[in-house]
Amino acid sequence: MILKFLFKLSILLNFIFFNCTSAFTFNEKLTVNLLPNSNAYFFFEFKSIWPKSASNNFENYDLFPKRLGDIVSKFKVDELSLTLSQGKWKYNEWGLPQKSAPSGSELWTVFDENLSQLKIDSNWLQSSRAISGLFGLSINLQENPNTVVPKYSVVLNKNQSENIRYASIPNEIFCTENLTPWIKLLPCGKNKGIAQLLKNSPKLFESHYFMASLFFKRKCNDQACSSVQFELVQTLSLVYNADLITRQLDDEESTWSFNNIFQNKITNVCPVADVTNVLLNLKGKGKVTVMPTEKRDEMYVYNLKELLASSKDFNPSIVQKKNIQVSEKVPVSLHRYITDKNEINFGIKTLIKNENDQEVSIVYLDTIPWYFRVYISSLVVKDEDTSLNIKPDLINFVPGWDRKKPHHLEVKLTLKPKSVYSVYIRADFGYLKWDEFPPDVNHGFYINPVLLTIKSNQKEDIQIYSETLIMNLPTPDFSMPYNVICLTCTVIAIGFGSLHNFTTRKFKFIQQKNLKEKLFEFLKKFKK
Amino acid sequence: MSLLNGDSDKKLKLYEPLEKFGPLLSLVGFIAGVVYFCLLPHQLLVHGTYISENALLPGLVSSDIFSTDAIFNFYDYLKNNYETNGGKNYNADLIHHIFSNQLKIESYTQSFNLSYPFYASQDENMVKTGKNVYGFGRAQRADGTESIVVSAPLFLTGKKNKQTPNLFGVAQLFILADLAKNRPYWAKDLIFVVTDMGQIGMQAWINSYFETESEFIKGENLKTRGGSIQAALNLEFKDINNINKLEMKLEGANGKLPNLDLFNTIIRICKSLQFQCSLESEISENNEYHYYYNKAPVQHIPGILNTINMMFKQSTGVPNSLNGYFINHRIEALTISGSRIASEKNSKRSHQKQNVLSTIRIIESTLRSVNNLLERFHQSFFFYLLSSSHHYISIGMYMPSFGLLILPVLIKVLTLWFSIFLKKDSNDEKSTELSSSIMLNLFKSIIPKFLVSGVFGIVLYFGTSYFLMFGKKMNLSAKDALINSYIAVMVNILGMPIILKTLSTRKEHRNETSEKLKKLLVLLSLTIFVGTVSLLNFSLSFFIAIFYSPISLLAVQDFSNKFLRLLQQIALVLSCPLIYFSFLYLAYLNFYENFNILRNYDQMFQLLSEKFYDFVLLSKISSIWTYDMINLFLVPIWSALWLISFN
Repeated sequence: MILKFLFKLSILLNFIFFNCTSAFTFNEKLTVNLLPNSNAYFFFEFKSIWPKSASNNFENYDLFPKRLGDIVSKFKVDELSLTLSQGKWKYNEWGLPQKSAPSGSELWTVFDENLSQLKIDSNWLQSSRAISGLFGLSINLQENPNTVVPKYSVVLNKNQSENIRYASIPNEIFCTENLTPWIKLLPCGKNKGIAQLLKNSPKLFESHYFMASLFFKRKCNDQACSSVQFELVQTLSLVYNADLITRQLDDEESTWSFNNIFQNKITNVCPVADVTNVLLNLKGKGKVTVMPTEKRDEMYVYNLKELLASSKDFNPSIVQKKNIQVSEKVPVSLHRYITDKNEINFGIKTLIKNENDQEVSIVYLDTIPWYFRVYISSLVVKDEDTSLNIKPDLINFVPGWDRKKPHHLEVKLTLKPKSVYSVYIRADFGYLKWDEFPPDVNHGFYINPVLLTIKSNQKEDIQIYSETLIMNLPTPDFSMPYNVICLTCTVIAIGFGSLHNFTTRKFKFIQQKNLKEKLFEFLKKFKK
Repeated sequence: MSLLNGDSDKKLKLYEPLEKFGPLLSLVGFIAGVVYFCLLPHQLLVHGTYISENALLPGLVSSDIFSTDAIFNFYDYLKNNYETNGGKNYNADLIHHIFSNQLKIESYTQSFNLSYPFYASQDENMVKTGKNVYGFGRAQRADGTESIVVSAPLFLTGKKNKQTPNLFGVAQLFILADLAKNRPYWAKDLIFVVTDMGQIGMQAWINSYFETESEFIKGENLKTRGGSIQAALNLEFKDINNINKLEMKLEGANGKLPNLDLFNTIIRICKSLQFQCSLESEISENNEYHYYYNKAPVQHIPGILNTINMMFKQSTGVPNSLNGYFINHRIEALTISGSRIASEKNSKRSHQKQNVLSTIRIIESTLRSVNNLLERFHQSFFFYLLSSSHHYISIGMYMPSFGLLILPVLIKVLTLWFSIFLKKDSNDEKSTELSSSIMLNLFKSIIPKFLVSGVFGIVLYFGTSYFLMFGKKMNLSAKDALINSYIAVMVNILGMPIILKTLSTRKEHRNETSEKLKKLLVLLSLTIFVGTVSLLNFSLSFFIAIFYSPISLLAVQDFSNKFLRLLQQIALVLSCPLIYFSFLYLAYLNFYENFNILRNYDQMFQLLSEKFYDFVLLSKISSIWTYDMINLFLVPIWSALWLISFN
């Protein structure tokens, strides 16, 4: 009885203590953008900020997920970004996403600046394993070394340090088993707030594009870093084709509601959330049934805390026009493909097209697995319109190392207005040992997509990704070892069998019979 | 010359029986080769086809096409456009319009031009331009790393270069495009290609897709691409009203074939949909289709005919349809064409809709089977002959027949080799004397003859365009110029022995060893040539071996009888590659294309020269090596045989 009381008291004290020392904030936001051809883009954003005092090291962690906290504190992580996706974002058709991601997975981490490079390498491997474990992924950076230390891209709007490690794993595709642990990091799970829409997970995987991301950042509040702040942003992008879901056949408009798409409605808000907003970007693209609580430059804002106090649920019905333009077009478009393939080598070409009327400076990051032996001498950057070779502003090339690290190429370029540049490089096929072929089905080997960072002085940098390519390596006939095993087993069976027979048999002497006796015995048989 | 120093006793032991039984062994081997080949399609040796790749799961999907209304609408729309305005409206722009505006899929056009490799005849322009259309049905939920191509030419070229529009073929692409757009199950992008100018347009598109340079076809750069192409289907349908059977064309460029699994999948799907599918112009005894049987019966004689038919088409190296050019890039591709059998119960008019539905369902089902693939086509066979749509002969089965056919030449080579280098006593003095005399002979008489033969090959190899240039100066049509110059070179070769005799002033010192050496070299080069070709294009090497193996042995025989010598020389004249391959082509026309040689005797030469020109033109444009290989190697070998027979 006393124990129980003490326990309750401690919880109470805890609450009081926390409420005065720290202000954990959690905001959730859902942005809905209407895309051409009755596609709709849902962008969920869950942001939690936890001012962590230097003394407590995940003994009291409030609503910040401890599982993640353990990883970041153990491996001294300053920044961590993980994206998992299924499908391909169609930049040409859908414009710019709120957050870009390559197909498959991408992971990068910035470690504490006091760590040595050696320690960072080991921390990176271990933390990637821990992350894999946390999200049910199989990012195996030990056997499939894919890590590079990018100098000019990846981390946005910041001078990059040597402490970053970057890997993209195109064949690790987002799946249900990765979604569940991702949702569990949310303070209210999927029971309350806008995350209620994620309850019906099979519906989520009916989308044309599905991407989940997690971004962690450790921020110092002052120069001396006496107090820090943990920031965790979880986002989820979904693109649906409303026509395919509602099965309507209207040429002009399509009508759909949240319930149509997610088979669920938002009925309440997460109690710990400070702000729960739904933003609708309608800008002449359609109409909505529910009146917004606020209008922010043609963006309809729904404050769900206010709305759900009066109504039972939030399920706006939207009438979407079909022939609409993308609100934010990509400033630079990418197209990557394999050219000039023969038995020995092949070329990888990336077309970079500046869609704007202004000069744009970009950074091109290419990581090519070691088993494609890249020749830096074959690198050609060309203006496709004039067919003249271009001298890039900067080239950073770190050659690959067999079984250790991939080829890493960074090119800084300034694109002329409305120009098309191409980056071309040739590679040989490497040979893998027969046990180095992955156990999965052999689609071919993936060549990572290019990450293009579009530098901007005024606004934030923009990142876009190219297509993933696959290429077939010389593959041994894997059924041959099987045949050999069969053959060997047969030989062993025959050899061992006769030997076994020979050695375990008892031998005894028989007197040799002459012809007469034999004949006699023979006749004896007939007698019977 | 290590043989001379080796223990010649052992080799002598080998030599004696070889000399004794060699001719008999040769004869038996050759006959066995022919008999074995004819037995290949027999029940004892032939195997039934089977699906080797489990992931294909043919015929297990339920179709998403329920009615033919949409396809008839598209067909009528295309037909109206074709029939009004003299057919000018039926072009790439119309198809592009339907793709991008009606079906709302990503679609682009590609212009290309073909510059003729050599001076064309007066009525043809030097440069022809055309326009292709391609569209993408992107897989909605996949990352777009893999794709399947479905292509259809705008026009089909029939007999006598008659152009018929491929209306039904193109209409089917629209149905499939709609399916690709609206169904979530696609794991691979579908790429739709409609090509102008048939094979040329296809090559232009493929070259641009992979950015491979071609000397003669220049295509515009493609705007975008799909992932790596796993398979391609090409659709050719002349008439929507007259289809009750589908025929497959397999043969690709340079005799390469698509993976057998792809073909088997289609046949299996046809069986499950109870529709008749077969090889191109497949011969069957009872003309009844095999879907009535669980296990198709083996028919021996039709089997032989079908195999030879396939080999005829394979041996030219020139694909007879658009699918052939995908195979250059290791993309499994075949052509499905619609045809009609008169004596079939399904041929009634009322069955037309059912037949159209079955056709499109077969193609849909095939695409979805390929969509199931997790890995590239790698199982089953890449080297095979088909004796019927249900039976195949694998490389392991047909190769021995080739080996047996070339065996007589090999035996002769060995016999000659041993008799030159072994039969003499292994006395050191003598052997050095022998080798020096051989060397002398080599330079005096053997090398010049081979050089002369080689020069003819090189003249033909490089001279083709010059022949046509001269022809143009002399106001000959390209077809006539080519065949006439070719014949002229052949006549030159035939006349060479006389020229050589008049040129050599002194009496040639005839030596038995040098004679043997000459024969040895010719036969050896023939064996090496045919052996190499057999690995690249089995059918071509088979047709060469079956004829040139006995002919070469006849040519190296010394006849004292004048009459026999005359016969020998007549045989050698007839074995001129031009005559032999013309004969083969006529035999093909006679047996498989219902072209009666005897009745159409007067057209024969005209037809041959036309086909020869087409063949040379297409092999130059599409870089097919059959013509060059024959010019560079077979013609010199034949010429050397001819020269040798005159000693």
